[in-house]
Amino acid sequence: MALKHSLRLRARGIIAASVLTVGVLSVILRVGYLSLYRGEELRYKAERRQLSDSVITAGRGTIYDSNMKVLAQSASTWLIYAVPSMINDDKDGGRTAEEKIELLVANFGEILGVDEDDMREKLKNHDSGYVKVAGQVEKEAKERIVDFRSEYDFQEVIGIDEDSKRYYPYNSFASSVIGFVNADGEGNGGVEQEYNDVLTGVEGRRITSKNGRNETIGTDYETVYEAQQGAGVVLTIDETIQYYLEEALSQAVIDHKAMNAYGIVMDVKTGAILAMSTMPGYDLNDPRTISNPRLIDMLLEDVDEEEAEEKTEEETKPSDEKEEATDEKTEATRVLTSQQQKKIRENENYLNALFAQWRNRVVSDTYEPGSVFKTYVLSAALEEGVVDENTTYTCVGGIQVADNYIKCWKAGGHGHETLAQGLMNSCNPFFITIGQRMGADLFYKYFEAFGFTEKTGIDLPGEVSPKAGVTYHTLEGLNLPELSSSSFGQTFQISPIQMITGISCIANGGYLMKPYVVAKTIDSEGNTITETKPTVRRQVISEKTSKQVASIMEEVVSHGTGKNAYVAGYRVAGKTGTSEKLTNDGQYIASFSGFAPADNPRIAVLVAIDEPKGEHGGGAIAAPVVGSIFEKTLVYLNVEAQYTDEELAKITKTAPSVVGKTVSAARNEVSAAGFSIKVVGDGETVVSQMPAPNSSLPADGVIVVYTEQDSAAQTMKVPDLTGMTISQANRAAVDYGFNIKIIGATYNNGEVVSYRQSLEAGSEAEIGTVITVYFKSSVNVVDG
Amino acid sequence: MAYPTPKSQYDFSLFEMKTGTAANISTAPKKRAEEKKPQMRVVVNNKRKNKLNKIVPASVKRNSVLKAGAVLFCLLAVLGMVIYMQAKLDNVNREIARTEKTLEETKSETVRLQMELNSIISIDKVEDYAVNTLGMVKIESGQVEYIDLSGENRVVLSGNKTLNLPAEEKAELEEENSSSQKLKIGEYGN
Repeated sequence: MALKHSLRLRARGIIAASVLTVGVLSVILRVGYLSLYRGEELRYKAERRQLSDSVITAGRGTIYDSNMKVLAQSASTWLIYAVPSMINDDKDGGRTAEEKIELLVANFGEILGVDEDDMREKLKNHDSGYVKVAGQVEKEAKERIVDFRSEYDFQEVIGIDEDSKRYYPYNSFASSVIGFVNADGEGNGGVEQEYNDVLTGVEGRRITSKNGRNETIGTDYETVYEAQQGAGVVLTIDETIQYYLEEALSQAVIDHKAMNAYGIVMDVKTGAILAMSTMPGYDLNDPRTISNPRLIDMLLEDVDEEEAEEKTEEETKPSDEKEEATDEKTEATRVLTSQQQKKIRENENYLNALFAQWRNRVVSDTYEPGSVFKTYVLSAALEEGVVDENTTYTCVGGIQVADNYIKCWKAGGHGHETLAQGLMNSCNPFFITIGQRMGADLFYKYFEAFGFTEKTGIDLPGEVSPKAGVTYHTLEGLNLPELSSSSFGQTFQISPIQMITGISCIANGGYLMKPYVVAKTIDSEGNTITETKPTVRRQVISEKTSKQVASIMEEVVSHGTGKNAYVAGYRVAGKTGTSEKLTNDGQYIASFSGFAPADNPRIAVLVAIDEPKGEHGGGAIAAPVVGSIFEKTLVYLNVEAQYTDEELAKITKTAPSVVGKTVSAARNEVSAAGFSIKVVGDGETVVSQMPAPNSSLPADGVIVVYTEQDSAAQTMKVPDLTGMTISQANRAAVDYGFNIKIIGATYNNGEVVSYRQSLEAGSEAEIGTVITVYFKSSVNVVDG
Repeated sequence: MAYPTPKSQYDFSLFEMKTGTAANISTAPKKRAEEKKPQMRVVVNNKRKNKLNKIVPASVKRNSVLKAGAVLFCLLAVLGMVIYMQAKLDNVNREIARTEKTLEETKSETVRLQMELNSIISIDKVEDYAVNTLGMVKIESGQVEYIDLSGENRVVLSGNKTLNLPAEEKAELEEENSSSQKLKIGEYGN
């Protein structure tokens, strides 16, 4: 009995064990199947159900000027989209789909400023599941859209996504240096493109567990891969100097109706770019709109023709018909404006115009340097001992080179001249002779040493690459005619950035620097990540030669063709240049390159005016621009002005403060200061004066004093002060009760003539007002 | 066999220890069958014990019910608390997410407003306002006075006064003056 019981027990044990074994084995197999074979798929499904995976956007780095002023910064914005497939008729007899579309279009138009017709077309496409309405929408507009969506229950029709926007607070300021960000968030042009990787950063991710309502549940299960914010970029560009440069260049474009004007200001000791501009610039916040008036004119040529035809037809209509059509005409004009815009965008040359607008001509264009190149020939010849300061030459008005007779720009020639006079006169035969004496080997050696056969390596995109045999003559190709023409800067091309780097080399003791626009990169806390150290590429000429050339270039400005760049109190050295464009017959590039102070150079400036109308000489139109840039920049950089006795005598005086004094006391004080007085009113005490105390006035200026509190300011028509010498302009202004402020080359009263005034002739202005009058010399400023 | 003896499994040994010797336990099965009576007694005794257990006072019985109720209540309270806390946590998380979003939006708005402000006070607009509205004029290079700080530092006393200081203090003052002068030059240079 017991045995039977024992056997049964054992059997049961075996059965149980077998069942258990089978069970465990099946579980193991199942687990193996699920984890090894379907593991990936199931994990993915589970994660999708349980985890929330969101991208942490990496903010694009900020761009600063050298004084940490923000030039470009990014912020989050929103993208509004619509889902046309969800626009249906209401089942309860509410709005029809058509009505809904109209409602959407009207609100999108009003809040987001989108084209209503275009939007209507897109929303009517019921098959479409996604229509972008507007990107980079700011908070206020987004909130209005949210309210609109809630009010009309468009939750399924209107969607909102995250977006980001790059802000450029100063619009077109330094546009060619900064560049912009395209729709994909990639830098386009300038620092935005060159430093795109640095500025972009790395996106992060946040993975959290979520509940049934898609909400994150606690941070216990949260895994965060922090976004790496884009680094900030600090430029060497100084906002103030950049402003001076842009102001001067844009005025030059207006004055000379030029296609472009471009310029650079460089720190000669480091190669840092303090300012760089191509004018007209473009609005970085709206880079696809053409803003260069000459480009707009070219693109609108066809539209204008059509408009002219319409006008002609209209003029032939009877007068009563004309009146009726007035309202329509206004409407037509509005439509035409939009047509014009459309036409511009549809014009086959629109893209070319756009690229031309974005082009940083300072680094991407080449030009014939013209006479400015003579400074390099002079430097090389002095360095090699081919010439010395005592070398002389007699210019007879031309020189025979092989089969050609090359004329000097001055008919009849310059006669006997020293080396310094040769450069001051920009004498072509003299420099052809120097070049020939040097020979092709030496010429090419220095051409290469000054960096004209290679890129400068500036940290900006699109630097033009010199091409041997195309943009410049190779050593083999430098035969006598080529050598001769190259000696005065013709038949080859260089870029403006190469030119200014070479000029800085002459200024700083012969060291060819690598130019750069980014001083350092910083993290979001402001800590420096990388810093650009000035790089000396090589020493091209000795310090002695550098000083010799600087001294001769100073003579060019004080007495030669560059006299319009002269700045009282500062020693400016420079050289003018004029060259005919090879690609466009009859068009010129007028340029001037220089540095200051000549005895201890701090900055070098290059200005080129592209396709000016009328006058086209570098000495006549580019030198005054450089002079104004030097004057303001040197004061800003705290470079002390050192006046000669002659200059001191011409310095304008300061208006005394006579407010609160009796009329007789004011009269005495004003005349003692060397000014005349004009009293307005019958009061006994001066209550206000014009110009304000401490304003600078030329000697014999007039100070208007008001003696009655409520007396109205007396006005007068501004006289035309252009085309006059300094004393003539001053006298004419004082006769009308105005004062003048003299700007420009002022070293010789009789020689300089006014060419522009700050207040338009014929306009009304308060008497005593100071009118800024610009002077320049037109005597012996023409160069080759 | 390594199996434990069935006796120990049924816990008979407890009873046997009280009635017989250890030798009796290892006797043949027959003997064990004879000894079944006392074994039954033990069971009876156990039953008695159970009966004794069943006959517990009503107050004790109530206590245990109360205890169970209390435990159940505590468990429910804890469960409720956990649920409540979870809900609270959800709310806080929602609030955090909302606040973070608001922070982001505010940051963006700050940048936008800052950029707008910058564009309003751009250098050209400031100059235009200063010159055309306020009538200000730019300083000219001739109006700037430059002070040479490279010379020696001097103390000028008015009238015929003399500095009567002990030699040590005098030296200290001189040293202090020279170091402050250096600092000024340094600041100027920077």
